[in-house]
Parts: sequence; structure tokens; C-alpha cells
Amino acid sequence: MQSLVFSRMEESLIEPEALEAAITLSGGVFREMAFVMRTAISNALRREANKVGASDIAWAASQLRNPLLRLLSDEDFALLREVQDTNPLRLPEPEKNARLLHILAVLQYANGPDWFDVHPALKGILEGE
Amino acid sequence: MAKKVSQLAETSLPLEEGVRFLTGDLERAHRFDKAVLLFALYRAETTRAQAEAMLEAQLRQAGLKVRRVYITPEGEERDLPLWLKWHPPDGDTVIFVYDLRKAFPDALQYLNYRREIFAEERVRVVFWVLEEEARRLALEAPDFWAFRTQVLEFLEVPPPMRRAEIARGLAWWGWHGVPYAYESPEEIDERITLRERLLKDLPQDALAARGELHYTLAALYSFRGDHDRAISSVQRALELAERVGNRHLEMGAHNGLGNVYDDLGRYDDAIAEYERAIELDPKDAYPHNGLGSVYYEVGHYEEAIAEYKRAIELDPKFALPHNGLGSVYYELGRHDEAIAEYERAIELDPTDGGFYYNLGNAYVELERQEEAIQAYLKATELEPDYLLAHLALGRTYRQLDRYEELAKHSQQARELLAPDDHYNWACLEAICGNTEKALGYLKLALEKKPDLKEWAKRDPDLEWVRGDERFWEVVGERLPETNKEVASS
Repeated sequence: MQSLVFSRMEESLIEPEALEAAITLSGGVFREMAFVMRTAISNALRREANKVGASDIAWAASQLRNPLLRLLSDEDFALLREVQDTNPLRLPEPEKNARLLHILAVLQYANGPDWFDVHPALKGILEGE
Repeated sequence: MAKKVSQLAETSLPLEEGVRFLTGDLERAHRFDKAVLLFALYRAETTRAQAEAMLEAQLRQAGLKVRRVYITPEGEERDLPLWLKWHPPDGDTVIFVYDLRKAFPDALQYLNYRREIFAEERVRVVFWVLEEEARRLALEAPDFWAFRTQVLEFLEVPPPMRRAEIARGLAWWGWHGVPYAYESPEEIDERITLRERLLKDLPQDALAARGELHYTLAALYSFRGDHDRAISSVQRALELAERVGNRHLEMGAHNGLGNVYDDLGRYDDAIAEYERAIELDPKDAYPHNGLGSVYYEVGHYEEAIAEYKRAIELDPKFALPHNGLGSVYYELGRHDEAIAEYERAIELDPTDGGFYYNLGNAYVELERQEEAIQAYLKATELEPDYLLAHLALGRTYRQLDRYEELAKHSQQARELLAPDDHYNWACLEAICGNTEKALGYLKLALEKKPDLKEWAKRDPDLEWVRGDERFWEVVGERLPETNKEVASS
């Protein structure tokens, strides 16, 4: 992810911690990483800042989170909490819950046996509940 | 659930800041010639309209224009990407998209399948969407949704009193008594749509705001030629102004009603309305200008001059009565005075192509063709679709045997003419030397509007066909001796 970012922008234009946070926020999904960086840079320009910083990544997180929140029911939240706590190897009730994969509320990882986790943009919310 | 809502609110920016954010993204995209897809989420129409007005003003300041696209279930625009491909905006234009939901689910599929077009065409778009629309986009057009640059939230739902206050401000936004002369029919429609939406959104008891929206709406309907709606809107404005005791609006409504009646040729009704407006506020120049216009129309030139002069006395910076006065002097053959008045009108409002057109006509009467051409050209520069100015240019170039320029402007007139505008078709064909066609159109025009006969007998556009005996048959008279000479020459 880091090399993807640095192939498109100067290293000096982003705080190292912000880059770290951006990579975490992307959940390892390229499309999400592109979105996070695009949105964070836009926010940095709005702030007239010289570098992308933590607050820009926080803005990008809200840009990812808010649309997702509009799509989730209370029932979805219960499932997301379960996925976050257990990182299951298969998605519970896949036919019913495939929608959560489709909207990237749940991410599927294939490093080793497939496993599932919640999109990082939602984690703070679930922990706060 | 409460937690989710509070989390959403946390990331909402104040309206001004959110708008500045949108402007910044759009300006940068313009500077680097990139596509940008912005989403502005709203819950209340008033908040949306407020953000929209602010954004448009900032974009204009940055040298950018706005083109509005309203999605309808049957319209071509429902396939927005393809529509943008067929109608690509120029580089300085930002597209505002409304009502996507009206073409769901088709619009969602088109957006998702053809999302690449946004990048290929490098379009700058702001989608004004309700939360439900955003939800459906994320769910049913996920690949397109992933292309979004930014989502800005304007989710405030102001209490009714505040909504009314915002709507009152918006009713007068970009307003200076009449629609701007340079506004296209599409822009007039946009202004109408804004007010109609605000009226739908406002509570019924927001009387003052509703009155002002109806008042400005009436003038816009009238400008579009929709007189029935104009009358009903202005009557509603009048009723509301009386209920809230807004005497100024009451006066304005009587004046507005006078304007509509004047347009409809109901001159007695128009005079009554203007006089009532003057009773309510004798210091306002508008109803005097209106009275001047009616008296001019009915040929009472002395009364017209007095009213126009009174309007000027009350508001020396008011351009319209100078133009009106110019037209009266023109009719009276006092062309030098007409020119002075038209020039004063232009000095006060250099954006009105009509003033230049009238000035050109006065120059023609004094056989100052070159100056007339300059005036007509200025009119077409200000209003490129000004049919009468193109016809006048065609006629003047024909008089000067400048056929290349005649061809150019007659072609432009040809493109602008409505198929059933038989009278102006007759003028155009006469100017172009197509006597047969000109007389055919004239016959059709006079069958529909016999009142035009008198004007046809002296219209300078028709001078080339008046020498033909068939012209006089069409107007139901014999060829006069003077025209026989023209015919033989």
C-alpha cells in the first residue's frame, strides 16, 4: 500500500503516522486506499496544509463511515460486532449477509484460509457501542 | 440507532464551510482538467437551496458556470453518463444534477455500467441527493459510488420560522425587478423550479415568505409567456401581502398584475392595477413606467411621456423609462431625442440587448446605417439568440448590398425562427429576396393575426415585397402609386 501511495505522490507530502492510519483505514483494499488518499488530500488542501495529517485521515474515515452507517440495520450491527470479535473463517448465514460483503462493511481476507473482519472505518463505532 | 445519528452529525461541516469545500474541489478539478464527482446530501429543500445559491455564487466568482440537469423518468438524462457524452459540457461548466431518484432503478444501472464516462469526459458534477438516494447509490451502484470524490452533508432541517426566513432571502436572490435580459429560457425555468420547490417545502403558515416567492414566481412565469400561472401567482402574492400587511409587496403585486395585463393587451385592467399600485406607494417608479408602457401601446403618447418622465424623476437610475421614452419619441419621428434616451438607458444598464436594438432602429430612420449595424451587433453580442436583431442586421446589410454578412445573419435568424412564426418568416424571406415565400408566409401570418396588416404596410423588413402587386392582394388593398415606382425600378 505504501508503494502504491509513493508511486503517486512525494513522500514528504504525508505525515508517516497519517500514512500508517490511511493504510489501516483502507483495510488493505486498493479501491478503498485510493478513496482514502483522494479524500484526505482534498481535506488537506481545504485546510491549506502542506502535508496530509491525521485529521485528514479522520475526515476520510468519516467519508467512508457515514454512507455505510446509512446502509446498516440494528441487526447488521449485531452481526458486525460478532465478526469483529471472532474474525470467523466463514460468514454467518452467507446468503442473508452477502450484502455486507458487497457494500464492504465486512471484508474478506485470503491470506491463508479465508477469514472475515469488519471494515476499519466501522470499528470505532462498534467499540463505542 | 441514536449512536449512529450522533456519529453522522459529528462529521457534518457548517454550511459555509461545506460549500467552500465543494468550491475548492471544483476549482482544483477545473485547474487540472480532472473529473470530480461530488455529492451534496440534504434533508430540507431550503438548506439545499441555500447551499446551492452560495456555491453558484462562489463558482461564478471563480469564472465557472453552472448547468442544471433534472432527471425525469422518461427523459434522455436518466442515462446521465451517456447524456453527458452526447452533450459534453465545456471546460468551464459545472453540472448540478437533481432528482436522480425519479429514474431509479434505471439511473442507478446506467451510472454503474457507464461510470468510466465521467472520467473520460472529465466532467465536474455535483449531485444534490437526499439521504435515501445516497443509500440506494451505495447499495445499487457500488462501482460508481466508489468513484465519488467527496460527500458533503447539508443535513440541517431548520425550524419552520428559520426556513421561512431562508426562503424569503432566496426568493430575491439574483433578482432586480425583472429577470435578467441575458438569462436563457433554461435559466428562467431553473429559477421557477427553485421557487416551486421552496413553496412545496415551506409550511402553509409561512405567509410572508410564500407571498414573496409567489410574487417573484409570477414575474418569471410571465417572462416565459405563461400568463395564466403568472396571474394566479401574483393574485396569491397579493392575497398574502394583504394578510400580513406587507404594503410594499401589495404594491408590487398590483404592479406585477399590471405587467401581465399589459402583456395580454388588457390595457384597461393594466391601467387600473398600476393606478392602484401608485395609490399604495406614490414614490415607486415601477407603476409609472408600467403606465407609460400601456399609454405607448395604445398610442396615447403625451400621457406616456408624462408617466415615463415621472418614473425617471422618482428613480433617476431606472433604465426602462428612458428606453420607453425613446420608443415614444421614435414613434413621433423625434429620432434624435429617441437616440439620446436609448443611450441614457444603455448607460444605466449596459446588459440589455433590447436597448441596443431600439437604438439601431432609430439610427436606421436617420439613415445612419453603420451606427445602426454597430448597435444591432452589440445587441446580438449580449443576446446571441436575439432574432429581431439578426433580422435587422440582415435587412441593413441588404440595404448596403453587403450580401456575405446578410447571408450570415439570415442563417442565424433561420435557425432561431419557430416554424409557426409566420410573420417573421415572411420578413426573413423578404430580406433574402425570396418574394414568393415571403408572401406565402405573410398570408398565413395575416390570416392568424389580421392586426399585423397595418405594420406590414410600413415594416422596413418587407420593403422589398411591397412593390409586388401580390403583397397588396395579401393585405387586401390595391398597389399604391408610390410602390408601383418601386416595383418598376
